[in-house]
Formats: sequence, structure tokens, C-alpha cells
Amino acid sequence: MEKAGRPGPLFAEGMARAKPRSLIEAISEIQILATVVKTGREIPENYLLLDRRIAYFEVGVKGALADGLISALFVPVSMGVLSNLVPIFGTLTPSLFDQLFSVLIAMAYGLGYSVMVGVNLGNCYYGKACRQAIDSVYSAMVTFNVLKVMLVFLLFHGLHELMTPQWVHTKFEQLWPAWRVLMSQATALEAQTWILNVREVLLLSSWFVVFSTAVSLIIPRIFFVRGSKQAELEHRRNMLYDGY
Amino acid sequence: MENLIDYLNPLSYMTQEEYLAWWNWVFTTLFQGVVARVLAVTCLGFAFWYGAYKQRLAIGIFFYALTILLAYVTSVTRFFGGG
Repeated sequence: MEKAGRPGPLFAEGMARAKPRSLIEAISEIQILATVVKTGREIPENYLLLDRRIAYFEVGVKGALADGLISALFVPVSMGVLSNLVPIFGTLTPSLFDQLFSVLIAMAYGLGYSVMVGVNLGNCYYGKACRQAIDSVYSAMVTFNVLKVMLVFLLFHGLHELMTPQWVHTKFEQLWPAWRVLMSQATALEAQTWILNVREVLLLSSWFVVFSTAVSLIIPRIFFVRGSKQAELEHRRNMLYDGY
Repeated sequence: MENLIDYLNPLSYMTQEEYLAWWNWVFTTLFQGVVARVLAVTCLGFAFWYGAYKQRLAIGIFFYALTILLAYVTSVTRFFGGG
């Protein structure tokens, strides 16, 4: 006769929560925590285990890395537009609108990312566990943005020192036998001019990256301060009127 | 089948010069001047709207890439000797 199963403890094996892989998933998780805290249930600080905090940190790192790549690519182009060296909308003499637009393009990814983090997590910056989770994302953003600035600064200054007109000319002469099947002599001259134009704006670009990164990092912090005050007010109202 | 190929081939409607001139007109209209600026501003607006506000990152990044294309494609063509 088959033995009936005895009642016993249930272990939630294989029920481990999946780690957040993207910013949207991390934001959603933190929003759930914040909703619980705002309804009056305090979540202890150690609720977030180390793996969770590291997962939030990783989400912040991914955003900073993508921003670093885009900055390294588009800030020199934008500075080239400001210095009348790179055409935008087909003109080498950009208007004020064109200049501002090129700066906006260079900063758009970082700004958009920071605004998204700030808008969505600002209202959640309340309670120990939520603050800890948000701080994990934000500290990763700060750490890797500082690293990004240092790397871009070194890269742009190094390239400025390296790419002298003589060096560029010599390298093109050395590589010309391999490149002549790919481009005409006129295109090769155009490419050399373009490289030397980019060199002119590398120093300016490295300082612009410092400025744009500082702006991008300040935005979420402003949202956090504003949001935490609003959340505190909301919590007080809940306690007063709804008895949470 | 031949009819279909003739139907798809633009050179059966116009000469090669007319065809190139038409592409040139499309290119200068889309990537230079006021139309390019309006399209680029619209695309950047959509990039912020979808990427930052609606949290649909893929669409946001697509519009951001489109903005970059509209603004700088003439730089790329100039680089390759087209401008």
C-alpha cells in the first residue's frame, strides 16, 4: 500500500527570485519595495542580500558603460561642429540652433538615462531598504562615470599628443599600399584632414565630457532629494488619514 | 516575370540622370536644410519620450540613432568623398 505523504515544512527550492538584468527590471523591483514601505510596513535594511545589491550595482554599471561609449564617439563630433570643423545638416557654418542641437545629441543618452532613473526612483527614495537599493544603482553610476571620465580624459589627451600631422601623414603613407584598393587618393587626403580636425577638438572634448557627466550625475540626486521629501509627506498623510 | 522586373526597375520609367537627380533631391531634402532639422528635432523628442518617459528603451534608442543619422550623415558622405 502506498504511504500517504506526511505534512511537513515546505521549502521553496527553485523559487529563487531572478536577478534584475536591466534598469527597467531593477526600477520595477524597487517600486514594489517602495509601495510596501509607503503603506506603513517598514522593510529592514538587511532585507536586500548581497547578491541583490550587487545585481543593482551591475545595472548601474551597464548604463554607465553605454554612456561612456556614446560620449567617446559623439562628444568629439559635437565639439567639431562647434569649431566649424564637422558639418551638421550639411553645413560647415552651423547656426546657434545647430550648435545647441549637436551638444544635445552628445548629451542625450546620459541625460535620458539620468532623467529616467531620477523620475522613476525619486519617489521611491524612502525607507532603509529602498534607499539602499537605489544607492546601489546610483553608486555604480557615479563610480563608473568617474572611471569613464578618467579613461576618456586619458584617451583624448593621449590621442592629441600622438596624432601630430607628421605622424598621421607617415601612417597613411605606410598603410597606403593596403588602402589604395579601398579609397582614392582624394578620399585619403580627406580622411587625413578629418583626423587632424578631430585632433583639434580632442582637448575641448575631454573637458566637455567632465561637464556633461557632472550634469548627468546631479540630475538623479536632485530627483532623489525632491522625491524623498514628497514620499515622507505622503507617508505622513497616510498615517494621518488612513491610519497606516 | 520580365514584366515584374520591368515594373521594379526604376530605369524603365526614367533615365539614369533623372534617377540620380531624384536621389540627390531626396538626399538634400532629408539630410540638409529645414526639413532635416524638423525631422531631427522630432526624432530626438520621440527618443526622450519613449526612452526616458515611456520606458521603452529599444524604441528610444532607435529614434536616437535616427536623430544621429539625420544630423551627421552628410559628414559621413563627405568623408567618403560624396559631399
